[in-house]
Formats: sequence, structure tokens, C-alpha cells
Amino acid sequence: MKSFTSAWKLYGKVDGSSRSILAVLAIILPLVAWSAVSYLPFLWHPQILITDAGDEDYLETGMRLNRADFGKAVQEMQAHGQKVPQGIPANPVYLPSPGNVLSAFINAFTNPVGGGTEKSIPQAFWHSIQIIFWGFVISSAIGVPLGVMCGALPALARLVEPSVDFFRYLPAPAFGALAVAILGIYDAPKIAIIVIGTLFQQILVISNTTRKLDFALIEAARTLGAKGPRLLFRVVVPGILPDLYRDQRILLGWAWTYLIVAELIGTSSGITWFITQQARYQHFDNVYAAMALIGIAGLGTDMLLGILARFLFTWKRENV
Amino acid sequence: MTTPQEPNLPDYRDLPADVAARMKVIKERELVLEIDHLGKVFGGRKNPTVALEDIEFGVHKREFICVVGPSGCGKSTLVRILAGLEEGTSGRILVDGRPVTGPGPDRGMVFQKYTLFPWLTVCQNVMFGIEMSGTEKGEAQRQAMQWLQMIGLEQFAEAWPHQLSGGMQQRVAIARALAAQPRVLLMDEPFSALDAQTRLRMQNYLMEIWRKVDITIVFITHDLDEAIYLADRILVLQPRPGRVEEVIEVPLSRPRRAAQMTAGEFLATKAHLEALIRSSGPNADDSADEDVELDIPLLTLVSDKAE
Repeated sequence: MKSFTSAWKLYGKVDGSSRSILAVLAIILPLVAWSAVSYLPFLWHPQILITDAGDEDYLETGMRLNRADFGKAVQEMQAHGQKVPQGIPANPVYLPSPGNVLSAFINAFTNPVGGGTEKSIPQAFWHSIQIIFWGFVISSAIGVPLGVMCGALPALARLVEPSVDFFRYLPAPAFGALAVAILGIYDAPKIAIIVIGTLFQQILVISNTTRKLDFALIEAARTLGAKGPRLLFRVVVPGILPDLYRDQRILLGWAWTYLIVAELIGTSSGITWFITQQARYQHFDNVYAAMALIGIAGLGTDMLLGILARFLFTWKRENV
Repeated sequence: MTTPQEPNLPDYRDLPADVAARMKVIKERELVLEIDHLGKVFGGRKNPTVALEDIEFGVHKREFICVVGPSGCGKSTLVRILAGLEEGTSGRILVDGRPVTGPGPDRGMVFQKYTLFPWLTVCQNVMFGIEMSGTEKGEAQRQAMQWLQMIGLEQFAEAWPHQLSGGMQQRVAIARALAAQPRVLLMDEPFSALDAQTRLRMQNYLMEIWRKVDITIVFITHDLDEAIYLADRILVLQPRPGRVEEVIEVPLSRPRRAAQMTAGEFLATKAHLEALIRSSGPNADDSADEDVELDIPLLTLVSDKAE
């Protein structure tokens, strides 16, 4: 308990047990809040879900309307001595309960075949993952070597970085029409959008990381007779590797943000298109389930990469 | 200024017979490192700062040279130019008669900062320079282990640098520099970040290594005791512009022991060095620190005046 209070002091210390307590609370607290709003009828619930329309013409079973409007309808029916509509307090359609979202989530995996041209969550998600994967791989194949070289070679940096800076400010969506015109309507332009969105940032971020390598190490290597490619591959690359790895983790998250644009151009596809469609049908449980899947996949990947870093860079005093 | 400060101290220029004989032998050896009219100017055409002016000096084979001087005298600049990490604006550096262009394995360097490669183990660090000269891995490892044995750290061969204390890291850095088989070992205040006891131990280590290995050392320091304790000759630089003020032959016999630090010759040399460095002080900015008269009101609540 003492350590738990010290974790609440500015720059205080957190020990193992309170760390795990806080980690569990981090997940549970938002869920508790969501459940409370969903399942406790006296919390929020600004609308009424009609269970029996009574004699009111414009009401139908399953309709949602504001409490005030419902109250008016009830008064009206009472005044006319007709059958009073029945309803239960409900939240707006865009806030499904955790239970509904969970069942939509489970349903997505147990009945993975979508109806007709509609794709199920796993299908759509798998398509998105492929787009991200190839976009990020292609971007890294160009961006990482170029970034490292820009960081290490001042002349190259002067040549490349101005134009990179120019393209960096052009929003990736602006390239949508162009990408479709050049690369067709299927996956190629989508991958291109991811690449355009990631690559230019990647070059700058990685060249900056390369430049931040402790210069004394370079000087020490030089006095030991290292130069040229040997200096690059034996000193620069291993020296920046942990930071490079961390940059790549951040940039991978970046690539995800361009997914929504990528999936709207050409033939719409993937998880973000699925979300857009389901929102249009007001299937918000599916929307939340799909969003949860993206979040879980993203967090999971990042945690996995973080654990991997601990094994890869044992020489680092504190691991990223 | 050329006379000793206190009458009971001997003249620092009187070399004991054994030291004089040794100096004579050293001076007959060939020059490994020559500094030929070296000058260095920082800054552009607008306001140039002369860091070094017309430095002229030769280091003999297996000689131990210390460079001292007040801060701002350009001693670090000098060693960086010797290493090839910076270029002189005029003059040149010769190693074994060949002019130096850029850094190279013939001039090893130990830095003030810890510069072991953190991603390599201690043994791999020592192997680095050996491998750079084209030696294959197995042989490099064998040699590296010998060096580690010499500095007494072979049991740390597989440790990461950050697991070592500062003194140990600098020992490995010395081994790493020596393993590349340089002609000259340049040391830029390598022990200044260490605590006093460790520093003395490191100085003894260094002299021990130096006795066993065929190496010439140029050692930069601001610590006068360290300079006198280690050096055959001390190069005293004068600031603004950096120029050679005097070259002192240290009147102490070898092997050196800590007990010599209280000997008359040692104290005389130190008194002279202090006088030299203070004399170049008045036009130096940092001398202002010493002359400040502190005017602090009495803030203590203790009524006795024990202090």
C-alpha cells in the first residue's frame, strides 16, 4: 500500500505488485465505466426503445426516440384514452453494450462467412493486414537504407532531404486518384498510399536517429582504423539498431493511420471499409468489434515487438 | 620564475644521474611522432580564434609525454589533430616520417568519455581494432584474450561494457587501442572522470603496461600531479594562442611509486608548473573565478566561531 501511494507522487517509484494492479485497472476501469452506462438504466440512457407501439401511429416496435418525445406520445395517448405505448430506457444506437459487442466479436469468428459480397470481420481484417504488411515492407526497404545513409553522409542528406520534406507535407490522400490512375483499382494503389504516407517520414526519422549516434563512438572507431562500409556496418548500424527498431515500431503505427484512406480508393475493401459499411447499416456492435480487433492486433504486435527487443538488445542497459 | 619557489626545494632542472642517463638514451632514439609548425585557427574570416600557434615538438620512441596547460590552451585540440580527428590549419604531423592524413590505426586513442562499443562484449571490443587490420576472427580473439589477460580482465571477456566500472572500462579502452598495434597511444584526459583512488591505480596500471609494451604515449591532462608522476617529459602549453611554453624533463627515476609524490624533485617540479600555469592566467577568463572576493553575509545560526 505504501508503494502504491508512492506511485502517485510526481516522479515517484512503482514496484512490481502495484504495477500489475495498475495494469489490470487500466483495462478494467474503462470496461466498468462502459458497462455501467450500458446496464444501469438510471445512468444516462437518454432514449426509449419502443417495445409496444400502442395506438400511436408513427411509433413502431424497435424504434428509439428521446425521452421527452416518448413522454409527449404517452400523454397524447392518455388524453385520447387510447392504448399507451410501452418502452424501456435505452442508449443511442451508436453505443451498444459490451455484451452486444462481445457477441458480435465472437460471432465474427464463429460464423466467418459474410453474406454475399459482404466480407466478414476476419476476411476484411486479413486483407487489411496484407495491405499494411506490403506497404510497410516496401517503405522500409527504401526508407531504412536511405535514412541511414542520409544520417551518415552529409552530402546525401543535403541532396535528398529537401525533396523528402516537400513530399512529407503533401497529404497521402492527395495521391489517391493518381495512384489509381497509375496502378489500377485493386491492391497496388492501396499499398502505394501506405508507402507514400510512411516513407517520407521514415527517411527523416531514421536519418535523424542515425545522426544522434554518439559521435565519440565514431571517432573511437576511426582511430582503430575503421572507415567506409566497415565503419557503417560495424559501428553505425549496430549502434543505432535499438533506436531504429523503436522508430520502426512507431512508424508501423503510422502506417495503420493511412489504412482508412488506402481502403477507400479503387475497389473499397478491408477492415476500415467494413467499418464504414456497418456504420451505414447502423450495426454499431460490428463497428465496435472491428475497432476492437484493430486495437487488439495493434497493441499485441507492439507488445510482441517490445518483448522481442528485450531479447535482441541485451546489451542495452534499459530496454525500449 | 625559473628559480624554485622555496629555498629548500632542489632545482627541478637538476636531473638525478639515472634520470639524466635515461633521458640521454631516449633522445638518441628515433622520433616516432613529429609536430611540425602546427597551427590551428577556429572560426571563419570574421573573428578567427587561434587555438594553436606554431607548435614544434618531437616524441621519441617509447617516450611518455604529458601535455598540460590551463583550460583553453588547446591541449585537447592538439591531441585531436594528432589523432587525425581534426585538421591543423597550418603545419603538419609526421608519424615515422610520414605525414598524417586523417585518423588511422597507427595512432590509437583513449578518450575522456567512455567509448567502448556498448553492443559488443568486452572481448569483441578489444577484437575490433585487430579485425579492422584484416586479421581473421579466431586469431583476433586469441590476441584480444591476451590483452585482456594483461590488463587482468579476462574473466570479464563476455561481459557488456555497461556492467563494468568506469576504471575497468578505461582499462579495456586502453587494451582495445593497444591491440590495434599503434605506433603512438594518444590519451585525452582518460582518467579525469574517475575518483582519486581509482585514478592512482589506473596510473600505475598504465605505467606497468607501458613498460611491457612497445608503445609511445602522449597523455593530455590538467592534473599536474598526474603529469609529473607519469611523464618523461612534460609539454607545457600556454593559452590564447596555444603555444609551447616550456618542455620539462621530469627529474624522477623509474619505476615510479606513489611515495615519490612527496619527494623534493616532485614538489619542485610541481611548484614550477603551477607558477607557469598561473603566470599565463591573468589574460585568461577563468582566472576571474579565483580572484572573486566573496561577500556573503553571515547566515549561520550557530553562535560559536569554530570555523
